Amino acid sequence: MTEQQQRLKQTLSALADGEANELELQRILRELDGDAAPLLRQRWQSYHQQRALMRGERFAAGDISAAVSAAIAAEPAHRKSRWNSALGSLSRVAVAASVALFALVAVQQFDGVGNQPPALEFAQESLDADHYNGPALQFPSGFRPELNAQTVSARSAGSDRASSAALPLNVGMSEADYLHSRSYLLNLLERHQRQSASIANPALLPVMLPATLPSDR
Amino acid sequence: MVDNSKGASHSGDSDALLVERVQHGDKRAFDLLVLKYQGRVQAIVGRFVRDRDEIADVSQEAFIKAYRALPKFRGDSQFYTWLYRIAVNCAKNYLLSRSRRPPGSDIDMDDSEQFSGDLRLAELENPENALARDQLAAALEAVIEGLPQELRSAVTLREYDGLSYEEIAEVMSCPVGTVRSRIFRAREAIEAEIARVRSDVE
Repeated sequence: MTEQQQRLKQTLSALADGEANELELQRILRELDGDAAPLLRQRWQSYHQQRALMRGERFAAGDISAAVSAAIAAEPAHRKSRWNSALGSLSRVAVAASVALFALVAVQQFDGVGNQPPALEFAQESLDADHYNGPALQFPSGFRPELNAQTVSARSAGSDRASSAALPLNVGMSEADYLHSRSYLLNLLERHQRQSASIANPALLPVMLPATLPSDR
Repeated sequence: MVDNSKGASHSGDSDALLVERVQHGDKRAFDLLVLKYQGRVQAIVGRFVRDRDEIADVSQEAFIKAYRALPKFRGDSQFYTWLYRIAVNCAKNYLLSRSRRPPGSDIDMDDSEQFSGDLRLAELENPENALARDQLAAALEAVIEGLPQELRSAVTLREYDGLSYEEIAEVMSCPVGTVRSRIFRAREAIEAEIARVRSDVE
């Protein structure tokens, strides 16, 4: 028994206890392709059987590892790269952010009309119609709502919001535009919810839920 | 008895590391998971299926299904809990495919893995296997008793009490590296004795 094999077995023992680090794990995995593989496989199994015996756990003696290994060799290797994982998370965050932005704009539009503070009236009057077009991703294609956009203001999010939230919408848009807009928003929220459900990181939970949309005009 | 939760959170489990390696394309890591859990998976399947070849086939299928589904495993539960469910489903589906009725109620994971407390379990035991296992258990107990005190303490604090290396180092007032070495030496001594008993049985 060489000294290197002794060291490998000691690392394996630590790995069995979850006390080996990433580099040690990589070394063990590399060695599984080398001459030490039979010894390492035998010891790995033995250490876990010792544990099972000590803890009174039930285990069967049959060895199916070679058969499973042969079957797995025919399977494609999984490819979940860190880059792909990061991209996946990023895309979910992007959708969440776009939903939040859309919701903010929508709330601003629907919430403050008729109740806006005097300071906003001037800004509203000076807005040019071109501002409403926005980038293609913000609105359904071909949708050009005649909405009264406002700048974001802390005051508009203040005391009037609660009382105005349940008021019927009256923003000068046609019935068709309203339905189109509402359908688009619901669709976006649904997509966002579906994607958020698959996020493992609790920090990326849905930023909002479509719990209270005006059901009708 | 020492609270395991602290040690577990500190030392974690090799399963998470191995699962991550498999998800990134390293099939050798899955091989280690199979070696680690094949005995337990076959024991679970053996609760539903009697024939030894059928147990091996169903267990093998469970591992292959687990491998295929591993990209979707997000670590919300322990890997073994997840694997256990797959094994139980494979066994039930196997029985249904053979027009046999699976048990009406699921077998509890803990019940299915303990030696005592279940008569049906004893009925399924192969007498030779049971004898061999009893001999192994007796040999294990004897070899642990005969270990030098520092090796015995290290391995029992780890295996019976579930302490992390850091906690054992604190209890034994020695460096973590020493704990690691002592546990390894104890395991090697136990392995030598188990190998001797196995050769006697065979």
